[in-house]
Parts: sequence; structure tokens; C-alpha cells
Amino acid sequence: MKRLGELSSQQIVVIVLALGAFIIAALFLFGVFNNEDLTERELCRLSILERATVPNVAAQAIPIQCTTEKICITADKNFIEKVKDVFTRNPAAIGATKKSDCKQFAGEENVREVKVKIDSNPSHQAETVKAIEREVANAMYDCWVMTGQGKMDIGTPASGSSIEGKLANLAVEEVDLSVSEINPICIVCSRLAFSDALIEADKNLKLLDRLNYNDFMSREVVPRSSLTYLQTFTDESVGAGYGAVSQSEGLNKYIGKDIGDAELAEIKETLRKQFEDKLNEKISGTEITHKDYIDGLTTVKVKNLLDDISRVGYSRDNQLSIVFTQIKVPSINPNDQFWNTFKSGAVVGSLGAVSGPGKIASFFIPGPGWVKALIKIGTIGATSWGLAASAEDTSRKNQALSAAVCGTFQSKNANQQGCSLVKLVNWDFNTINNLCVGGIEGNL
Amino acid sequence: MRLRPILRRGDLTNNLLSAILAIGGLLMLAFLGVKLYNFFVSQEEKNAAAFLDSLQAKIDALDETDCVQYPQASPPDFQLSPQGCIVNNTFVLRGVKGWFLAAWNKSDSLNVKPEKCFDKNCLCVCNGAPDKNTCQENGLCRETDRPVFLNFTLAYTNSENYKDNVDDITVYKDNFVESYCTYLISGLMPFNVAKSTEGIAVSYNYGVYNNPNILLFNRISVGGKGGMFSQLRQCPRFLRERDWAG
Repeated sequence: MKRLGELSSQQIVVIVLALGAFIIAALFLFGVFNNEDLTERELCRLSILERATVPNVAAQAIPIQCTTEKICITADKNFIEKVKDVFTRNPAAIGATKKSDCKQFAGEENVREVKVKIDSNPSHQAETVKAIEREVANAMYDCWVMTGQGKMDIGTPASGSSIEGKLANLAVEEVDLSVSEINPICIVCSRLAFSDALIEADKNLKLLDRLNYNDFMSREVVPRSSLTYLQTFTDESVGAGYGAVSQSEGLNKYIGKDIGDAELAEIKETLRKQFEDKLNEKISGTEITHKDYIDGLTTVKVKNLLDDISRVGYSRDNQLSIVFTQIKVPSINPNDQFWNTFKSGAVVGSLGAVSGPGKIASFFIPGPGWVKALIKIGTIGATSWGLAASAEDTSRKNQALSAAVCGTFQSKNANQQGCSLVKLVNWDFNTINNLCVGGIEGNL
Repeated sequence: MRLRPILRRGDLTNNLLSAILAIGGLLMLAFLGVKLYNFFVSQEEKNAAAFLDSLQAKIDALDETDCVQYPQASPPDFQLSPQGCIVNNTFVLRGVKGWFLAAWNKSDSLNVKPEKCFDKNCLCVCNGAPDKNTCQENGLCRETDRPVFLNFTLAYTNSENYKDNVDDITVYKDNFVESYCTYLISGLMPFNVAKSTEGIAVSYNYGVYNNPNILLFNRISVGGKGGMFSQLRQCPRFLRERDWAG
């Protein structure tokens, strides 16, 4: 028999639920972000997820808990050298924390060393080149996954107020847009440094000159997957092969060079090939066809476009970085061919984006302004294969591709569109500051 | 006449439960509020501490056994004597906007250095122009095992003075600033660090410009209000500001 004052079952349920909620909230507040069992990548992913799902007003209060991974690529020493090292080491340093072989990481913690064999054995050489390429490709892939594959809004500040008008004009004219107006925000996922020992050992062998990340990513599959790295980035099971990519790269060699009539003719020919199935179609937002636009290109116009790209800094520090960057873009037309190019993912080269045959957006061809903005970001920090000594010579020809995706963020505001890129860039202050105008999140 | 409501058995239990839940909810809200407040207030300070710790770790990591004897290694042209065996490197660190990097040495008078650096060589980051009081109250300092010398230079050279009409600031032609401290930006900044037995030199030459509107490190203009020239002038003990030619 129920007495007056006795707790009803409803009250008990409410109390239990309330207590449960308090406990979960407390666990979340104290536990999740201080849990040492979580790896740094999981912490990073969780913090991005949290920031992406809370209302905008609270998002900035949630710190991005991403810590830059430091990878030191160094030469594997033989037994005699290792023993010699032990005896020639500074006595004060013996017993102290192990020093990284990469002086670029001096005084920094949690440096992961990757030892590669540098000798005259051809099979070792092939292994070494592949090992370095795989480290870079894996770091890009991990960054891509960790940051939500471009589907999460990491709290990017909105682009400058003047950008909408400019972007509208860009649809029909060449790029005249500063990165500060685009306001990209960055997370530095990884830094990769080459040790002095490796550079010294490679002086005669020139193995580092053989590195080709684009080729590796278009050829090799992601571990535990049947798709190549490029297919994974572009979300396509077919058609993102190196053939398509190399077409776009064909234009890279003109960056920073004098453009004469012969070069102009070559560029036009390359563009005609890239857009061969669209030559008679009108360029979106204009009354002009691709063919007429390409025919109308002049050396001055091409040079202006290329100069815009060539004003980049080059690293002299034997250090690369993998950077996730995100921009918010104004409203887009869902039927636009350029939009379709990017919304399933694309790879962006220095002069355009390729995600498969027939889906090429070129820096040269007018298109929606924000696509130009994205490609412009893709061009920042032209990256050589890693040897700073020859960076200036090689980077113009061999820019590493960036993985990009644009779309409506799935995480929060249904109306907010943005583009995300994972880029391989040289680690130098000019490049990073130029790329990350909106700020750098996380712990470097 | 008002009738007092009759308190029935069970009423207190219901009200007590609501009260407990309400208090619990309020406590949670207060806790969240404090967390948010702490985040906003201390994030900048955390970043400043991270910067200072990184710089100190980089300095400590310079292995003196790798030092190179002059004249093979050119020492910085100040403080460290050419006779010393010097080890040096350039590091890139993320700064904290609005803060300054400064240093005081054991031999400095207490009239000019913060009390927290009493009887110490120390490297500090200060939220504002780095004088004794600012760094004492709004600064973080780390002790170093030997004297630290800072030296940052910036030059403007042109055929005529640059008058900024918006901010009413003039950058004189052939202007040169050499400062004991530097202003930090929110992006990455380079620092040259040299170490010998007699001291540590942290320096950088920001370059020579003929246009004060140029952005240094893509973040801060050379001239103008808030530009690097005016920030470096805020350091109270700048070595000299003179004509580039002089």
C-alpha cells in the first residue's frame, strides 16, 4: 500500500536519470580530455567532432586537442657506427633523454624516428624511396581521416566581408584575391624532417631526388583498403589515376618562367586536351565557350596568372609539414560543374584540380570564384620532394598534390558550406603564415 | 484573512527533490561557466608559456659539444665574443599576438628588471611593452643558466620619409631600429639562437624595406600604427635608432 510521502516510481526514474546525466557529464568533462589511454589522434578527432557539433557560440570555447606529430627520417646506421656513437657521445648527455637525429626537432618531445637504409644496394634504395613516400602518404591519409574527411566544420572564421562581391567577379576574370580575405584556418597534423645524417649519406646516391609522392599515392593502396590514396581522397573507385593527374601537372613547369609565344601555344594545347569534351560548352556564369576563352588567352594574361602562383617561399630547413586547412565559402550553385568537381573530393595541383576524367577545374579557366580561391590555397607553398637544397628548382615542376573536398558541412549548420584541404607544404614561416591566415589551431 | 496553506504529507519530499535537482543543475551550469571563463582567460597565457618553454627547450637542446670555434663560425655581432666556441641554429616558433620577448641578466639593476628576475638571468614573455612592472605583473619568466642577449633589427630605407596619414606616424628615411626585445605575432616567427659558455644570443634581422606597408611574416606591417617599427620602439632599452647610413 502506497503511503503519503513515499517516493513514486516516476520520481525514482527522474532521480536515477538525473544522477546518470550528472555522472556522464562529469565523466565527459573530467575524463575524456584527460584520458591517457586515448591516442593523440583520437583526442584530436574527438575535439574536432565536439567543436563541429556544438552551437557556433560555444565552438570557440572548445580547444582543438591536436598535437603535431613529429617524424624524423634518418639514416639507419650500421653496427660499427652505432658503437662509435656510444663512445663519442657527450658524457653529460649519456643517460639523458634520447636526442633526436633531426636537429629541427631539438628540444621537442615525442619525435618518431623512421630509419631508412642508405647504401649502394639497389633493392635497399628502392625500399628507402618507397618507405619515405609511404610515410608522407600515410601522414596525409591520417590527417584526412583525423580531421573528418572535410565534413566537419572546425570553427573556421568566416571569410572577409568583401569576399562575396570579389568572388562573383572572379567568375569571369582572373584571380585577384588575397588569402587574407579567404581566411583559411589550419591544423598542422605532422612535421617531417630529414636528418643531417641522411642528407649527408644521400649526397652521392641522390635517393631523395627520386621521391615522387604524387606517383606513389596514385599507385599504392591505403593499408587495409583496396583503393589507392588518391582514389580515397577523391572518393572515386575509378578514374583518378596518375594519367589524369599528370595532365594537370603538365602546366606546372611554366610557373616562374618567361612565357613567350611558344610556351603560350603549349599551354593552350594542354588546356584544350584537359577540356576537350567541354570545348563548345559555355563556361559557367559566362557567355563564352571554353574554346573561345582558351583561344583568347594572351602571354600577358597567362603570365599574370602564373606570377600569382610563383610568389611563394621555399624552405631551406629540410622539413615538410602536412597541414589541414579549411575555408568557409559563400553560397554555391549545386548544379555547377565546378561544384560537382569538388564535392566528392578532388586532388588539387598548382594550376588546377583533377578528380577524374572530365572533371577538371583549371586555374586558367573562369569558374566560380570560390573554386579559384580553393585552387589558390592549393598553390600556396609549392612543395619539393623534400630536399631543400634543390627546392627552388624542383618545386615549381613537381608540386605535391593536395586533397580537397567541398560541400555543406555535415556536422552543424545545414547551410554552411566550406572547403577543406590536406596539403603537403614546406615547413617555413612564410609558407605557413601565408596559408594559415585565419590562425593555427592545436599544439605544434 | 489569509489562510495558511496546509502542508500535506509528501509535499516536502516533492519540493525537496525539485530543489535538489535545481541546485544540481545550477552547480553544473556554474561549473561549465567557470570552465568557459578559464578557457578564455588563460588560453593566451597558456600559449605564452608554451612559446617560452619551447624557446628554452630549443636553447637547452643546443649541444655545446657541437660548437664551432671562431673564425669558422661567425658569432652574432654583439655580446658574444669571437673567442668563444659557438653553437647556433635557427628555430621557428609560434608567437602570441600582443606579447613581447625580453631578457634580463644577473648584472642588471633591480630598477630595470622585474623582481621575479632578482639575482637571476632570465628570459621573459610579457603582455605589453616589457618594462619592469608589466613583466612583473603580466609576464612569465624562466631562469637561464647564463646571460641572454636579445637583438632584433629592422630597417627602412628610401629616398624620402614615409608619412602615414591615417595613423599620423612618420617612418623616417634610412631608419634603423636595433632592439633588446621583440614583438610576437600569432603566426610562426624565426629566431636565431647562438650559445657559448659566456652567454646565449637570440636574434633576428627582420630585413631592410623600402615600403612600410609590406607585411612581415604575412602578419604585421613594417611601419604604421601597430607595425613592427612602432612595436620595437616600445622596448624601453632599445640599443639605438639611427640612420641606416650612420
